[in-house]
Amino acid sequence: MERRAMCTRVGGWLMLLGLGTGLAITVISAQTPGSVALTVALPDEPTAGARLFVQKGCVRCHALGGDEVGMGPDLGRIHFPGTALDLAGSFWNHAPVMAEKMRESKIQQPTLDSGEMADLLAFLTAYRYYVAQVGGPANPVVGKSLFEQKGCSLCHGEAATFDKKGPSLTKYRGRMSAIVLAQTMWNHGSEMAQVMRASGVPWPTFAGGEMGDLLAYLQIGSGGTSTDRVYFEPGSPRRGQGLFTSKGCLQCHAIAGVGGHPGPDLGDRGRDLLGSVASIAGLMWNHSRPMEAESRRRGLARVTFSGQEMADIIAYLYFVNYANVRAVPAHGAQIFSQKCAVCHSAGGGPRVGPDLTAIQQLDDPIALFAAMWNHSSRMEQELRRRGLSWPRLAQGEAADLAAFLVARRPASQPAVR
Amino acid sequence: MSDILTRRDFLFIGGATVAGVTLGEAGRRLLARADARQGALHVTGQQRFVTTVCRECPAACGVRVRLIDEVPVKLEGNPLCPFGRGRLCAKGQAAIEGYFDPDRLVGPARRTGKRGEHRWEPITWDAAIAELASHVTAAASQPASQTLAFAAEEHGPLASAWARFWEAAGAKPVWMHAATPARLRRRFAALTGVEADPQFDLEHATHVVSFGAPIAEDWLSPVWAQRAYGRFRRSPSRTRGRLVQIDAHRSITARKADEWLAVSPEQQVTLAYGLASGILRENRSDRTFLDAFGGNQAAFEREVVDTYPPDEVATATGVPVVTVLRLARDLAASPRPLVLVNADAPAGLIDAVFALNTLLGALDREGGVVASPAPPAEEPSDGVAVLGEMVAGTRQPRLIALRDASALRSLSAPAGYKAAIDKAEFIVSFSPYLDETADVADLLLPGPTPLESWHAVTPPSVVRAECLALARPAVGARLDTRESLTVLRSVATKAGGAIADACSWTSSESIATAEMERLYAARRGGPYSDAHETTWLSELERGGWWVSATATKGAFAQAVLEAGGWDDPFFAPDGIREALKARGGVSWPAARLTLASGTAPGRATADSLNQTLVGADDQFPLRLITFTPATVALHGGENNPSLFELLGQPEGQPWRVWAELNPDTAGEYGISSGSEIRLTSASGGSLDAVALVVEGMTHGAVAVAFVPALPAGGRWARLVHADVRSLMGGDGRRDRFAVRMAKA
Repeated sequence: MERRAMCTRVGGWLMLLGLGTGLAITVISAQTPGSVALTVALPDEPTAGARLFVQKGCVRCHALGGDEVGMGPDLGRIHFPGTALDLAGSFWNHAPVMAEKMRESKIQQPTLDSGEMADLLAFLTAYRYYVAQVGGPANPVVGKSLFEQKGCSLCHGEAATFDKKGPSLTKYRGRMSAIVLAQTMWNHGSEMAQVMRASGVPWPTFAGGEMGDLLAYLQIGSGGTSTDRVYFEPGSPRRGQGLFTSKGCLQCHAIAGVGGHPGPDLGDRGRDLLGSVASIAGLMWNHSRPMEAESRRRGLARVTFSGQEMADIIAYLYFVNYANVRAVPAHGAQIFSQKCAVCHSAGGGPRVGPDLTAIQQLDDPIALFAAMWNHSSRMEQELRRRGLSWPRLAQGEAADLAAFLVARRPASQPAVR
Repeated sequence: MSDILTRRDFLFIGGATVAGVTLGEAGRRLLARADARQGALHVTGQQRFVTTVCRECPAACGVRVRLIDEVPVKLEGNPLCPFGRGRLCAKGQAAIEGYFDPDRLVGPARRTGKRGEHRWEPITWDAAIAELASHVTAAASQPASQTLAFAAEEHGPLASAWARFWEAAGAKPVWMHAATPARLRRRFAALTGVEADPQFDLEHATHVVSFGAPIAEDWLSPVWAQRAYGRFRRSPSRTRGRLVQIDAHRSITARKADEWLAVSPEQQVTLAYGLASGILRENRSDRTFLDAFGGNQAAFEREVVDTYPPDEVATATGVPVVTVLRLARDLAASPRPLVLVNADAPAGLIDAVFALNTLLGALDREGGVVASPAPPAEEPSDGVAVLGEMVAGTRQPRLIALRDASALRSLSAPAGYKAAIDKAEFIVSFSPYLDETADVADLLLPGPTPLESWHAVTPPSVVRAECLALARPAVGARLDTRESLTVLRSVATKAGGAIADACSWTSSESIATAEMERLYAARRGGPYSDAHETTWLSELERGGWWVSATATKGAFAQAVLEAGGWDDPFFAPDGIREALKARGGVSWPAARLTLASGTAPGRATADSLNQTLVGADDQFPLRLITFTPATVALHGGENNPSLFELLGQPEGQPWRVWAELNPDTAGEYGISSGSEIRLTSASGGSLDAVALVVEGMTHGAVAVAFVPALPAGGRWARLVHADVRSLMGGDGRRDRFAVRMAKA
């Protein structure tokens, strides 16, 4: 009887696990045995978190790359190269220290709903992209020498003259968005290539921050006036994802194994793409010539972008690994058992804390971490009372834990936010 | 219950019936009346805040109006205003008194007696507009400049509309200059080649030497200045900034400074070049900056060192030579030194101050001088010069329009301007108050007070942003008033022709709305926002991004009006250095000034600055120094009793005019603090004041607050009888008169 009950129970668990896993997560490939892809939505408006950063009082302790020194680390100087859930794990890890500092300063700990957590994670990921990388390190002096070295000066001059084949670049003076340059170079790359071939000018490529330096050189001489400024609305990674498919990029490039060949899998090159707009534009430029040849071979139409489309596609490339979350639920089960099971159960009813599969609206990994964040202060006190240490999550563990918990939820829906 | 009616039942039922009859009819009515009375006596106390713009000075600070049951009860700073950030000065807080002023004009009126007799008859707006239209049409057919339209300096769409109307009517719009950074632009451009208003980063400086800059009073944009000063002195994570104030009298700023040096205005330029000489002699200038951008520095250095040896500077200024050298060394030794100057200082002093800042490498650096990112506003005509021409008789307008009282307060001699203005055939006033304009006007067309008005004003450029203060009326019109632009539109319709063509608006609201549509289409900046959001927007724009605050044009306008304005925090950090690189370095000023007397160029003196004292001889041995207290406004202010109360508070002389004297000077005359004295000038005017002996004050000088007495003004203004203008001539200059003193 006992054995039958045990079998029934284990069988039920396995069935539930299988069902939940099937619904909530999608098994894509077996890079790691048992690994699954957690579906996290790409942000549509990564700058929305800027206001939250102020409203929730984060700005009282954390600077964002400015000169002010806050109580907490300067988030503008930290790279967040991992996925959304790695960043959520960092949030969780700093909760006890933060709670103590906030108690000292008599500040109420901010609570976050899942949408707010998603906005903050997206904002912190995007911050360097929008600001620090773009406005900071570019060097116009280096840009000037690049203009000569790369042969740009052979075709372009200060003013339109008869001896230069290309147009004058003085129109890029002023506070011009890097997107304008990226878009112009991309859309006119084909014509430029023809002229360069005819003139025997070698095809230039740009490494690292070279494109940023070149842009800084082209922008110099703005004189501080408010005229001649062309801005773009910050790109939407979600729209960029759609464009990546609709413009046919996915036919040649895979993202985390999904997509075509022979272009490289951009998911594997995510770290290269965590750069400024200009550096991503440089990478796009570098591959535009072989891409054109491949497109011709396949009979594909030439791809051009409007300014806002270029902003969206570059934003998507920057965020390419943000939502590309792979997790191992089995490892998540171990983490749960080691770090959470002292107080919580996953389907076994309430203990010191609630049953994590019984809480409403935790079908989403981000919602799960928002809830974890909101209860961190109470949990920290409870752990302190019991003399237990804070359960820290190493890189990848946040995703594993989320995959396990989402999978254990009864009749959970696909984890799409 | 028994069927028998007991005595107790009878009494209960009977009582209930009586009560029902009485209370049910009459009683209920009484109660209803009582309720009604209670309702009438007890206000519901509905509180609401609305944003508007302070117009007591040109700074155009953001204001939040607290309304209780739609009645304004308190003005406070708008926390979203990028330069005020929730602060408001005394003048701004007192502005509510203008709204409730018991002497406000109640509606349009036409003069019936002679000018100055104050006999008026009320007329309808239609009649008033018809009368003005006939005069404007008649004047428009005359040669140009037969009409003058005076107003206090203002920039922005509403001011442009005012100017457009008068220009179309063949008139000359005349603006009475305000002491904003725009006054420094020409000298700044001469030095650097940058056509922008200079901005002083007082907040981040570590050591400041101020040549008469009234930081604690009304410097450039008073609320911004005082906030920046507070941070300069007490900012977290760095040491307290040090302030040396060079001022002819003991101003509020001088009292707050670490060191105050009393140097007369005409000798301040000598001291400034003396400091430059000290820095250059000891090779303490910023070599890195000068090697890159110094231009022809060698010639300037030779000239300054030769012309301003420290001992001669000490003799001329009265500042000991060791102090001159110490000031120079302290400046050069500080990490972020900065030299400030008042906006209405003589050109020579402004040149000297910018040259000093250049020597210190203070151009385009934190805690230094930077170029404003806002496009420079068109430089308006010099109103004082136009008034001077009228007094001299070289300009005789037939029609004069006065939007406010600024024109009538700027001239030094009231009698002189009155005689000049009286020659005009027709004078119309748009002032909402019973002030000097009512004394001279033939037609009164009272406008609403700032609380009842639309605003679209470009504030003086003091923060690293392009700003436009925009607001709708905070309250409805209390009296029968109309906005001047609405009146001008009606006049234009009647006049027709070019005048009508020039007026494309229907009201101030339509102009403000069109401006908001233009800003929405510009796709940059956004509604005023808190400091963090402004910084974020600025960072985004630096990276080439822009985020729309709202989805639609209407929502944008609503957001801008609720925030109290629009700003674009764009800033190019190296604007000056780029310009200097392009033009081959700084163009240094001539330190050897050309003397008015025609002799060879030499050291800056009163003569070289064209500041020779009028009437300085044995008869009139004291130099008159005038200063503007923080509570005195170029226009308005006569209806703010709390400002009069504040006027002499630091000296303990509210509602009085006082004269500050050096102890030695006072001793020579046997005068002590509190003595009643009489000052008399060569022009024959005299002034009674209370003496105030001030340690450290310039010897041989007497300092008097510039407080215009306004006998034609409202009931509060009439209580101040003394007017320092009575000591002066009629050409608008305030600081070049000699007086004699006697006990009253």
